[in-house]
Amino acid sequence: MPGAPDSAYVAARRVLLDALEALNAHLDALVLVGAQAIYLHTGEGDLAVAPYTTDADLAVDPNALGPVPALEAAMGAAGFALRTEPGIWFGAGAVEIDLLVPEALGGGGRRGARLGTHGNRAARKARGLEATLVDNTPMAIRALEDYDNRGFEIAVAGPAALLVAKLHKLAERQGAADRLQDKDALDILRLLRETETEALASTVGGLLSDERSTHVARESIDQLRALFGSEGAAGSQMAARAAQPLEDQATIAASVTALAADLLRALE
Amino acid sequence: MGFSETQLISSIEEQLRRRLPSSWTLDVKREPKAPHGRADAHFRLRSPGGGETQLIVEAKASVEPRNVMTMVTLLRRFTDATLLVVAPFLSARAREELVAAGACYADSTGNIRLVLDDPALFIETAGASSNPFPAQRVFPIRSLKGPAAARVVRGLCDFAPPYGIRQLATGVGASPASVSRVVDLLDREALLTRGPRGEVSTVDWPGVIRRWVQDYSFTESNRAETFLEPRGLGALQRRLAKSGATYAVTGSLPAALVAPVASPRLAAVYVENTMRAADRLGLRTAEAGANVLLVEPLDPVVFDRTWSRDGVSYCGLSQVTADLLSGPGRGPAEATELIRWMEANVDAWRT
Repeated sequence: MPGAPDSAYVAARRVLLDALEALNAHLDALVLVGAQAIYLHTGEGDLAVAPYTTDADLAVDPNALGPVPALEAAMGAAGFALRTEPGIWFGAGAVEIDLLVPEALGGGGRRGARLGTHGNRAARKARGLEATLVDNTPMAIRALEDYDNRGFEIAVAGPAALLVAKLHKLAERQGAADRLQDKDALDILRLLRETETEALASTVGGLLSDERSTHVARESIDQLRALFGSEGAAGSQMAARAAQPLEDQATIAASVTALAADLLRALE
Repeated sequence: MGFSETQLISSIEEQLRRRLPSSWTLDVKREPKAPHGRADAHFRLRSPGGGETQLIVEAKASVEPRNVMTMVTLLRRFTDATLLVVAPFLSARAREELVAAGACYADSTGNIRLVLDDPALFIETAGASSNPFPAQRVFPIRSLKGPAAARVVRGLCDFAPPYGIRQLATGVGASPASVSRVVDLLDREALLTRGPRGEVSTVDWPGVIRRWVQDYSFTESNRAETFLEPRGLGALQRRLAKSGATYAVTGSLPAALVAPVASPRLAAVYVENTMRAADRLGLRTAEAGANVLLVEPLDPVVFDRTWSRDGVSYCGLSQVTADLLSGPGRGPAEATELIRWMEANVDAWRT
């Protein structure tokens, strides 16, 4: 709903700023991704369903990452704690910050990214994020509370890269259908709605031709077709489920399908 | 003397039978079904030689000379058959105009002109030269179905009385006869009160809207088609704000601006031409999941007395209320909230 941002979003922003403060020496290696980045591009949009923005996702580019301070030490000093999984940090009020390394750059191992002096637990690997290192723009991220005057300029993934990343996330976890996955599908609609098709197609074209992201971009086009190719397709139905009861399910399914078809046509 | 339409047609039938050569026959069919609209009656004339022809009968409470050309032109859009315009009384000027427009006529006083080529027939007789009927000579109506009723009902809701019949007629662009009929009906149903000179002195406007939607239906009285705006209703509104064409948004969107119940899911937009508007607004035809209704209205009154917010033009609230009350989904609930707001803020919308 329009108006003041909700308290969970305000808290999530506060903890994101805590993390950026802790990682100040590494800001050039970070890209804001995930729901918070999507929200920065799309705002509330026209959907009656609020975006899910209670955690923050930061992509880490190992090639731009300096040796000091060590990620784990810096995060720990700022009050963040790892629980069990690598890369999943909890800050004040149990707000989650994920440090994610594009899979192609994360080295061997199953989950934790191999980050040399930074160890194997500070960040986890995630497929599809490669595109966010290519398509991003610096934006000012400021606190949403009057008494907090912190602000950082940080790269924020562009809509095309976010689309590629979300599609990989959806495709990877397809089958494990739950409400959170459904919200990811609705985020696809947010990105498609708030970005002009031609502009989106042109940036995806750039991702296809950049060797760092060629592979994941190509995969994402197949994923888009498979997940959103028809109103009955899995992704379209997930988006429709996430939007109920505030939005009409059939309208959401028809809308995401129509815009996906527009993008696929523009990419041909 | 007041005439009902049935009485009038019987009277004309009687006049014609008396003047037709005895070898001719006349069959009358009242309110016959026709592909476009409905004629008041068909008169079938058969000559002794077996030739026959059909007259399309248009019954009028009264005929203003200046309206004859328009009336005949409109009737001609639906039929090539011979037109017979009938009324309780036709003035000399009205008769001249009817001849000039190529229509036959007959009134209940005996003014008749009937010219047929095949089979050939010519009847011209003179009746009264001045109107023998007292001032009130309108057909009582029982329904608020048509476009004229829409204009008058909207006017009664939107304009704060007192006002006379003629004044209201000028205000809403309807004939005094139409206004008089609608006002009579609402008077009979105690939804308005009248002063000593017949002027409208108070109007129970929520009652008038509720009475209107017994006969008027948003989805059936207008011509609506469904579309999809995949980027959502906000995107549609931004496009409308930039559109130079004639349109007015009705239904949930304006209701939500005034008295919100829930987020609107369906936009309803009156336009002059559905397909052209869909094209201009970049809408897609939709079977399932439509979120936009484009509607060609019963009467252009929907474009009158609009208001705007953020550059988007919305229907007058009396129209919005009627459309919601007679519309799909949770429209009636939204209309109830809207009426509540309108009652508390009469000065904001009634002039």
